[in-house]
Parts: sequence; C-alpha cells; structure tokens
Amino acid sequence: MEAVVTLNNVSLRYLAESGETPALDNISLQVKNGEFLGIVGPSGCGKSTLLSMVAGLLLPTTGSVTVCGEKVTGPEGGKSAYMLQEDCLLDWRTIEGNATLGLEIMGRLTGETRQRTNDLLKEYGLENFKHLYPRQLSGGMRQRVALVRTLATEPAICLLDEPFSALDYTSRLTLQDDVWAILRRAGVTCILVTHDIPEAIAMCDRIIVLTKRPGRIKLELNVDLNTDAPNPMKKRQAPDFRCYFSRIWEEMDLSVERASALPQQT
Amino acid sequence: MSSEHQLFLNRLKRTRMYIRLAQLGLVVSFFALWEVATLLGWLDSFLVSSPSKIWQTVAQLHAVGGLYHHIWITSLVTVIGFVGGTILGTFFAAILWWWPKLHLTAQPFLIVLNSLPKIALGPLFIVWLGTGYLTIVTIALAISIVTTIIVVHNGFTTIDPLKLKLVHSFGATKWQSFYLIVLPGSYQTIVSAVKVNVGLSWVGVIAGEFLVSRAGLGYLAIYGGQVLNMHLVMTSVLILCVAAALMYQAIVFLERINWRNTLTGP
Repeated sequence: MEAVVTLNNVSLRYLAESGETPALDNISLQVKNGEFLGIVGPSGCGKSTLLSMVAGLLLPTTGSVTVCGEKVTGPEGGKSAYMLQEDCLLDWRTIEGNATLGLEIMGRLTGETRQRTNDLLKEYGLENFKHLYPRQLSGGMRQRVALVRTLATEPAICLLDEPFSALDYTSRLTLQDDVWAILRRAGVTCILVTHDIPEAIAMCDRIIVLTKRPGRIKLELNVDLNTDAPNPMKKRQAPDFRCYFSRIWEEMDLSVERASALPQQT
Repeated sequence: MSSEHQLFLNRLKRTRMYIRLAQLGLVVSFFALWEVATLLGWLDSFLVSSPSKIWQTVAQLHAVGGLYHHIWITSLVTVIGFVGGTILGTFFAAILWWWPKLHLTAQPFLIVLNSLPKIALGPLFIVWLGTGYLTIVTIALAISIVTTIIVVHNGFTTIDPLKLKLVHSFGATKWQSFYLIVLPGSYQTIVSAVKVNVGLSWVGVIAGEFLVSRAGLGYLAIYGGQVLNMHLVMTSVLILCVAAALMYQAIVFLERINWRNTLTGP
C-alpha cells in the first residue's frame, strides 16, 4: 500500500540560549493510506514534536518528512489537519463559522464546500446547533464540531494530538468511540499521539513506542486483537487487550523508573 | 414556583431594596448635613459652599445659557480622547505585535513614556498646537495611549497558543491569524482598556482645560478658584461627578451589546 507519510532519518534539536535540546533522534517511519497509527511514550519524548513536523509547523534538523509524495517545507493547509488537546473553538463564531474556519483560511470556502461542511454537521447530529455559539454546547458536541472542522478541509492525514486528555473519564471513552467511528467511516489516515496506552490499543492499527528524550523508536507493534468488536469500547474487552497493555508498559521507560523506586524485597 | 423559591426571591429583593435605600440615605444626609453645617455656621460657606448655593449657581448658569455648553464641550473632548486613545493605542499595539523585534527595541522607551507624567508635556503641546481644543485632546490622548499600547499588546501576545497552532496548521497567513484569532480574542482586554481610558481621558481633559481653555467644566472650576467663587468650583465638581458616572454607565451599556459577534459575522 502507498505510504501517505514518510519520515526518513528525522532528527530535531530545539535551540535555545541556554543550549540545545535533542527532541527526536533518527526516526524513520511510514504511515500507510487509511491506517490509524498510535504513538505513545513518556511525557516529553517528542510525540507532539513529531506531529508538528508532519504538519510542517516545525522543520527537522536533519532528515526529511514527506506527505503525499511531497517534501514538507512549511505548513500547508489541506494536506494535514490537527485535532488538539482542546477543541479550540472560537467563542465569537457560530458552530457553522467554526466548522468552516479551515476552508476560509485556505480560501476554499465556496457554496460547494460550505454545503459539504453542512452535510458533515448534519451527519454528526449538529445541524440544529449550527447557528449557536460554542459556549451553548456540551464538551462532547464541541469536540465533534472540532472534528468536522478538521474533516471539512479533506486532509490527507489527520493529526490527533492527545485530543481527549482534557476530558473527564466518561466523556473520554464516549468520544473515543465517536471520533474513531467518524474517522474510520471517512477513511482518513490518522496519527494519534497519546500517553494513554489503552486508548492507543483500542483505537489504532499499529503502535509505535518512543523512548525518553531524545525520542527514538523503541518498539513497533501491529495491533490485532482477534476480535470483531465494532468499536474501541468493546475492543477493550478483548482477551488480548491486557497482553498488549503489559507489552507496551514494559517498553515505556517509566516501568523501569517505577521498578527501581519500589522498596527492595528481602 | 415553589413557596421556598418565592420566599428566597422576596428575601433577595428585600436585600437589594435595603442597599438602595442605604445608598440614597447616605447621599441625602451628606447634602443635608452640609447645608445645615453652613447654615449654623459650623462651616464657612465661603470656603466650602453649600448645596443651596450650588443650586443657585446651576440655576444662574442655566439662565445665562452657558451651562450646557460647558458640559457638552468637556464631555465631547473626553469621548474623543478615550475613543482616539483606544483606537490609536490598539493600532500601535498591533504594529508591535506584527514586528516583535520592533517591540523589543521600543520596550524601554515605552516604559519611560509610561512612567512620565504626561501633564508635564502640556506646555510643549501649547507651544506646538496653540491654546485651542487640539491641545486638550492631545493631552487626553497622551495620557491614555501608552498604557493602552502596553495592555493591548500584552493581550495580543498572550492569546491561546493552541488556537494559533490550529490556524497555522491550516496554513494561515500572519494577517489571517491576526484578524481571525488575535484581534477578536483580545476583545475583553480592549474593552477593559476602554474603561480605564474613560477615567484617564477625564483627567487629561480637565487638566488641559485648566491650562488653556475658555469653556468647559475644568475651565469653570479653575476660573471659580481664581475669583474665589467656591460655589462655581463646587458646582463644576458636582456636575463632573454626574457626567463621569453617566459616561461610565453608557460604556457598560454598550459593552453588553455583543459587538464581537456582530462585527466578525458568522
């Protein structure tokens, strides 16, 4: 299958007055068309930095990032679209105005694209709310609006940067199901960055575990839960779920820290 | 409505009424005490005037016809002062936001200008601009513009970085991120700046009228002082109190209208 995103020996160092910080070291990976890739790792391992490079917000110090066969040289609307920790809806725009924000910025807001955005809003049960303002909607609905805003630009790749981390536990589980179903139905290629291991296992086809800073690829794991569960919530009940969890947990550097912090048994 | 709720509402209403009554009582007893004190000779009405004398002065001014002219001139110049100060200050703040290096260069000078008592520039303005209203408006502007630049620029640079990241990932130009995110996102900051500027503008206008004018409430006060007519001084101070309070209420009223949604559209 054709690779939508290719990272080739990518390294990135943050430069500051006080010195330089290596954030990512020699990362090579590919994301196939329609694939749902998860990236997990301890905090500060450069997960979000990796997404910023795919989006073109940061350029690698060495190596190259390719999206849809073209080298990334800067942010370019339409190729990749973000879903961030918060819904980032603009309080002063209506739901419809928020959903069309990306199209408007790219200068692609026409009668046709507006209609398609409205169809998306309708599909996700937001049609009756499109003239309301974000503060009038619940947290879950706001995240769905953010998702429509992302999908309206028809991105080749969707970048999810810990999109559920600001939510409470129940809304998080509900939204994982919601977002997963919507993205799967749209057939979008996705990269999900998260520190929540079960979330990655439940939602992704493949998981990459990064080491502590500077981030290197420690483990690459195809997720096959051997179940015909229709959504992430049900997938969590698959017998193999726990095996994947312990495998990833072991590989994360935290497990080592925790083990050494435990009192020695005599 | 339940009887408990009705009771609660009644209690609330009563508390509010008591507070209003107490406020009214304070005002009435203040003026009554003032009047009585001057009548009985506890206080010299030549020095502190008295409510009845103030009333006579108002009636006189009203009969001569100059009263409304003075109030109008001073209020108009004050409005020009704070509206102009806010618009110009926001404009310069935008320029400094656009070119961060310019801001870094200008910062020490802004601090010096901010701590300088602007009234000290009065003589300069008189020489440069003459003894007309141009000088008074300039003093009012000078007082409010520097703090506006500092406060609004601070608002511009503390916009939610996630929202900026979002629009950058859509490939937004600098101008787009300014008018889509930075300016509407700083609405509250600009509104607070307006409120502060109303007060500063009054100070600037009255000080300006002390220096150069032949009309206005500041002129009445300084003229009254020069001819030892304390009734005139007290009258203009009281009218100023009322005018300033009314103007502040007008601003609060205008603030309630949701301009941001009206101006930025859907």
